[in-house]
Parts: sequence; structure tokens; C-alpha cells
Amino acid sequence: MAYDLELSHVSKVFDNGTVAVDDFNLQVDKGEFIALLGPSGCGKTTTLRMIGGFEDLTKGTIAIRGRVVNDLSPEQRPTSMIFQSYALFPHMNVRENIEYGLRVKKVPSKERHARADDIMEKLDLTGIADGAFEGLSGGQRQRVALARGLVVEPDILLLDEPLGALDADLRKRIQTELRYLQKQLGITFVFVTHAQSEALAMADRVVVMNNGRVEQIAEPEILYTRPRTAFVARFIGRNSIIEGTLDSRDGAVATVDTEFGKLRGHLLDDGVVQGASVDLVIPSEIMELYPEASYQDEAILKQYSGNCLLGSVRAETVVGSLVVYEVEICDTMTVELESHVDKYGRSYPAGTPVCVSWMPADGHIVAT
Amino acid sequence: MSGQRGNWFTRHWQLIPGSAWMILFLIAPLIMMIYVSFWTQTSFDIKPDLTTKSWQTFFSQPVYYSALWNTIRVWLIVLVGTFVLGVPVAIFIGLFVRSNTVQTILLVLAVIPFWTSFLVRIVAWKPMLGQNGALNIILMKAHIISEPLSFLLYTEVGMIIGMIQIYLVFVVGPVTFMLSRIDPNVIEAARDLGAGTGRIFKDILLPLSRPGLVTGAIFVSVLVLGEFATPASLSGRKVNLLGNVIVTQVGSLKWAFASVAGVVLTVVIALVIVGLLRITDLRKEV
Repeated sequence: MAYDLELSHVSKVFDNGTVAVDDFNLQVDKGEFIALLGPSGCGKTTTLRMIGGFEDLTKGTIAIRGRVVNDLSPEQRPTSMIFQSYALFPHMNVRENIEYGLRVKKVPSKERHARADDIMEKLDLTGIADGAFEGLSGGQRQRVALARGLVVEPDILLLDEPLGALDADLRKRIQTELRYLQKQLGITFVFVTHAQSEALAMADRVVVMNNGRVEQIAEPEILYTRPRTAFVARFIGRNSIIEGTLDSRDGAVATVDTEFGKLRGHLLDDGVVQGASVDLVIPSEIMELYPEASYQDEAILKQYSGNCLLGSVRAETVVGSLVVYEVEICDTMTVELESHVDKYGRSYPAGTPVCVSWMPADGHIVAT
Repeated sequence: MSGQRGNWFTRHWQLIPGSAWMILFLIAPLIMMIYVSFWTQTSFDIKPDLTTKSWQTFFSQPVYYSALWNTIRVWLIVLVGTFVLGVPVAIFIGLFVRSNTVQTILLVLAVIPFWTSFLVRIVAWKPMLGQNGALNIILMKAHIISEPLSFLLYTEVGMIIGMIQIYLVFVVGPVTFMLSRIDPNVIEAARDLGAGTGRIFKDILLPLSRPGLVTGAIFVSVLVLGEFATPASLSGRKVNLLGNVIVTQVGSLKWAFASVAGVVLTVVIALVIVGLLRITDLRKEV
């Protein structure tokens, strides 16, 4: 079985010498929801546009259902693109927009109407079919763009930050709808976004990109719990990061030399050797607070294998059922802790000296 | 808020200066022109005794009614010429030049000839098109022709070349403006849905730039239909347009006859504008 979409060693160098995408490899199964995630300028949109045929490849191949499509122009590819600006045809009404792809493909008008009606029903657009879209809301325009792309029954739907122009509430709702629609249709989606929450909430797998390179391809929860590179650790989640060098390792647990002494974490990468510079990544929700005196408490030190940082609470912010503590460590760095508001009561107000601890298995060590 | 409504005067006084101007310098002269066209013209005098004699003369003498056909023919040729040359330029500047700065520079370059006086622009064509003109010299030096072309200057060809050059910018400007406002993603979306170059032109570019095309056509039409200087200068007075008839008749103080030609020209221009506006309602655009 061929992959629905396969990118092999895809590279893109622009005419001015900028390397936009460097050796991108990805295999996508049919019906997968893939998110390309990264900061602006990381090459995610260029990658999407190469899949759609809007940019040439400098190197590598793109295959859709086993067929190499490098030399096919956008109009020949079995892909549909949803643009951030929606790119609706301003001189056509909703139905004309949706039927355009079918009209170009010379689908008879009866079938054309039927297929448009069908997709409009799926996307809850029936009521506005024959109106001009001047009065439509952002969410409705977005759905018209989706309907226009889906009605031609593409193998792959490409979405370029389609939720970027919507307000936060609507974005949440459309995320859910989009996810549901995708599972219902069983079409492969490739979705570009710079918002990690969007990628983590919707995608089956997330491709994290930085500077044209793939940092990690993984399921959202893996990305969250097992970041493979320092960039992913910084980009995903709310992590505190302590720089240091690798001191020693004992199986999956390793010790890092840091300015705060020797600290322990989980090390996945076998290639990291002693003395290499590494980041110790500590997710905000796994750190725990103890009174300052625990620093001398053998039982606690043993429980956390010595992972204990002395500091003082700088701020305590309650956000609904969560509480976020900012703790200043040795005047040089601030870590953020997040926990349920009931966990500590209100026993650590700002100014309290504390000890911050975490289990070695929950911190990640990544090479820098 | 009854104060905002006020009486008729407080609501409409802002229209007075503009209306007064239009009545004084457009409506009144038009009525006057129609009126004078029915006056009695003798060799030395004009009297306000109403007659249709000037109108009969205009439509019975070939030299006059052929000026009408000449005007329409030259207008169509120049209109087509400016579009054939101008629209590709507009497409290039409006769609293919991505940088705004370069777009502006290219548009300014297109407009620069317009900064010189109208007469200079016409007269400058003479050393270009003449027997020993630049064009002939270049063609002969390049061995494309062996003898200088003589049909370039003081012919209808020369006049049309001059007119197309002068009025080209009126097509390039508005069409470029409309094209550059089209979201490039809209064109890409059409491609993505299977439209080739021809369909994109027909389905997307044409309808979305129509206000620019119509604006350009109105500019060119109004200016060409009222032309008299370019034909006089570059056609060596071989081509007579309605504008030339009017100038000649006014020159010899034949006011009644000049008015007839004026009324005919005004009607032609009005018909052309009405026709062009039927293609698109410019007030709905922008």
C-alpha cells in the first residue's frame, strides 16, 4: 500500500539563496491529520505550497498515492488548498464559488448542483447558498472555502493557517468541527499553523519545523512528554529549561552539570556523549513545591534523586482552577510551575522561600 | 435628533456650488450649442432665425458626414490598439511584479511622457516617424528595409501611432490598479481548482479588472473622440475628424455649423459612455 502522501528528501532553495526547506521527509497514511507547526519563516507554508504545486522543488520528490507529482501543475494535482485569506472569488456568490472547480472540470450542471448541495449540507451552508457572500461572517467564509476545496473530492486537503483570521472562540469551535469533518470524510489533511494549541488539539501527528528543518514528527502527547530537541522543548508546552553539560548516564536517567549543581532527567538520545552541552527540560506541571527546609530532608532528596532547586516565589497567579507560580532560582532564572489550585492551598504566597523538585523520569534531557 | 434633519436648505446647500458650476459651464453651453445649431448662417453673419439648414448640410455633404465615420473608425482602432498594447503591460505590472516599489516605478515610467506638454508629445513624433526619422534610420541600419518607409508620417498610420502612444497610459493605469488589487491567492485558488491560464483570464482576471478596463476605455474614448490636434499635426491634415471640422468652422466663424458638429460629437460621446457603463456599474465598484 502506497502512502497517501510521501515527501522524500524535499528541499527548497529560493532564487536569492535562502534555504526554505531542507531535506524534509514525511510519510502520511490515508485519512491522517497532519499539522506542520513552527514559527513564521520556518518553511511550513513553503512545504505546503510545494505539495500543492505552487512552488517547485529544488530537490527530492513528492508522491501522492504512489504517483510522483513533481512535474504536475496545481490544476493537475489531486490536492485542494484552503488559503488563510480564504481567497473566495469576490464576483461569484456562494454557490458559484463552491461549484467553480466542478464547472472547470466540465461536470454536468445537474451533478454539479447535487454535489454542491451535498457538501453544503455537510458544512451547514445550505441556507446561504445563493446569497452573495458580502454579508457572511469569517466562520461562514471559511466554510465556503472548505466546501469549494472539498467538493472536487481531492485526495489531500491542504490548509494554510485557515483559522488565523478568526477570533479565539470561533477558532476553538471550528477546530472541533474541522477535526470531526476530517474523520467523517476520511480525507488526508495537511494543516499549517504557528499555534501549538491548534496543532496539538487537531492533528494525529505534528511535524515541528524550525529554520527549514524538521525537528520532530510525533503524536501530540509524545511531543509534549518526550521532546527530542531543545527547539521542540522550547516551542511546545510550558517548559523551564536549564542549560548544562552531560555529566553521566545510567540507562535512561542521566545527570546534568548545571549552574545549580547536578540535576537529573530522562535521556532518550543515545548519541549524546559525556561533556556534550544539553538542555534539561522540565514541564511546568510536573514540578512540585516544598518548603525551603525540605532541602535538608533526606527522604525528599532521595525521592527526587537530588532534584531540588532553592528559590523564592515571585508571583502566584490563579487562573480558574489552575495556579501558576513563578519561582526565582538563585536570582538568575525563573521557572514556572502549574498545578491545580487546591494542591498547595494558598500556602506559598509571593516572597515565600521554597524548594522546587521533580522526578528524574519526568524531566527531559535534549542535546543542543 | 431633529436638528440633524433640518429643512431642505440646510440639507442640500452643499450641492449649490457644484450645481451652479455644472449649470453655468455644462448645461447652459449645451443648450446654447443646440440652440445655435438651428440659427441661420450666411457667409458674413449669423442670425437667430431657426432653420435646419446647417443640419441638412452636415448630413448631405460627404466631407462632413465622412468626418463622423472617420472619428468612429479612428476611435475604434485607437481603442483596440491601446488595449492590445496596454493590457499586457498592466498584467505584467499588476500581477507579475511583486514588489510595490518596482510597481510604482514602472507605473511612473509609463506616466512620465505625460508630464510633457500635449503638443510636444505630438511634435516629437515627427523626427521619429519622418522619411529621415529615427525609426527609418534604425530599420535601415539594421538592414530590415532598404528604402525609408514613407507611410509613417503625414498619414493615418502616423496619426494612429501617435494617438495610441499618447492615450496608452489611460488604459495601463486603471487596469494595473485593478489587477494589483486582486489577491494572488484568488488566482492560485482558481488554478488549484483546475483552471488553466485561459480560464483564469476569462473567469477571474477579466471580471475582477472590469471596472479598470471600463474606466480606461472611457478615458481613451472621450479623449480620442474629441481629438483635433494629433490628426492636424501627424496626418498632415489628410484625416479629418469631427474635432477638426469644429475647429475649422469656428475658425471661419461658422458658429451654426460648428454647433451642429458639436452636437453630433456630444451625442456620439454620450452614447459611447452609456454603452461602456452598461458593461459595469462603476458606482458599485471600489
